[in-house]
Amino acid sequence: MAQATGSSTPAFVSRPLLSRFLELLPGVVLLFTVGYLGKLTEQFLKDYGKTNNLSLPNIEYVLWAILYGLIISNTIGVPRIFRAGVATYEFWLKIGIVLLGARFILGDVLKLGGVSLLLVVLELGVAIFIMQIIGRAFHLKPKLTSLLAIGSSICGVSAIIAGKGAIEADDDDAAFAIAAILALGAFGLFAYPLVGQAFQLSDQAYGVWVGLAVDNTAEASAAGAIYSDAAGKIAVLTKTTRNAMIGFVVLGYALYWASRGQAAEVKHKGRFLWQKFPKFVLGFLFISILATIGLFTPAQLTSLGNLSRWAFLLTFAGVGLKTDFRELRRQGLRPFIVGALAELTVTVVTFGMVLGASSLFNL
Amino acid sequence: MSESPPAHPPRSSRPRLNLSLDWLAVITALILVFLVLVGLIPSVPW
Repeated sequence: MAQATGSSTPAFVSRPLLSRFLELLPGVVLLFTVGYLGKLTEQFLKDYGKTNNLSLPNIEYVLWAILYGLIISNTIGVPRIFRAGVATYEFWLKIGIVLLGARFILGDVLKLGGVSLLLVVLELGVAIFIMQIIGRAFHLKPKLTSLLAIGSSICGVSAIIAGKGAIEADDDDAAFAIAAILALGAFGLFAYPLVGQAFQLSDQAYGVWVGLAVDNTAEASAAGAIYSDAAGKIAVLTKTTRNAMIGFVVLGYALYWASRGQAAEVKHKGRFLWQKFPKFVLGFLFISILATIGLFTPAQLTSLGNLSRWAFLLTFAGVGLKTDFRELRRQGLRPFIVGALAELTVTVVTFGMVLGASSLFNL
Repeated sequence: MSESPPAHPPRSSRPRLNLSLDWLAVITALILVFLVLVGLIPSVPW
């Protein structure tokens, strides 16, 4: 959570802000370096293929950036000096999503968002039901099961953090649930595009599918962008629709645990829903409205689209750097298997839903 | 004798503006949009 200090004394303000900036700088530079290396690798392979008349597979910078990040975080680890800056990847993600609004006309947002919303509601029900059944079968702690259900049904890390406070779960459970969601998502980055290509899914159908199936917003955006630029846009829109539902699911679990006397009561439900609502969705819609009324010239739209791409580049590097498979060993294999089984089931069910929606809504 | 009030309120009671990460991202993005609109960011390559 970022804080800004409101004070009239410049020296009082500037010192903490400056030290905060210096604390974040090394990690942000690392994000840029890793992301840019990914971009250079993509370009190098393209040029190498052209020069040598080789038909090399076109692997997007997204995958390289994540791969380099994963290698660093799972071998030497991310040194302490970089950690605060690396953690800003969610900030860049949200900026990227808000700016992406410039590339959507409001009519498309409402049409695709409407279809997505319908599928999201179905997906939420399926994911929560499956996670509860599997968690019970594997005798997981009930609150860990709740966290995994919240994470797998909505939006991974943010949802788990929101849910952790609301149902008063242990720090260890939350750390594990986050690690499991990120690790499963990282695996998905490699698997989803292959399945999409095998079934020759359109960009729209593929984008909706990964937006529904991949839990972490950064990883869903990456899984879409690996397939194509258009699929990346759709994946972000679908995932954002899913994120908007976070308040309802967390509220449901908070009320459940409060009724059992194991969490604080929720007094103001409306305020609770507003607090949990991802506000960047409003920013995305606002920019989309500005683009729809023709406020931007084509050159400005290109610039805004590219700014969004740079923000996503930092995000994708952060996804790799923040995913540490060693975290999973702390709670053993069982909760991970539960998470993996649930994810696999959600993946298959959402795939079926998207195939159905493709024929109904011409995705 | 009454105590004179401190020149500055204690640090913890100063008014603080708490911005969530979401709002911070929205404001930053809007500033970028404004800069592009007024031409202060002329063109962004990719």
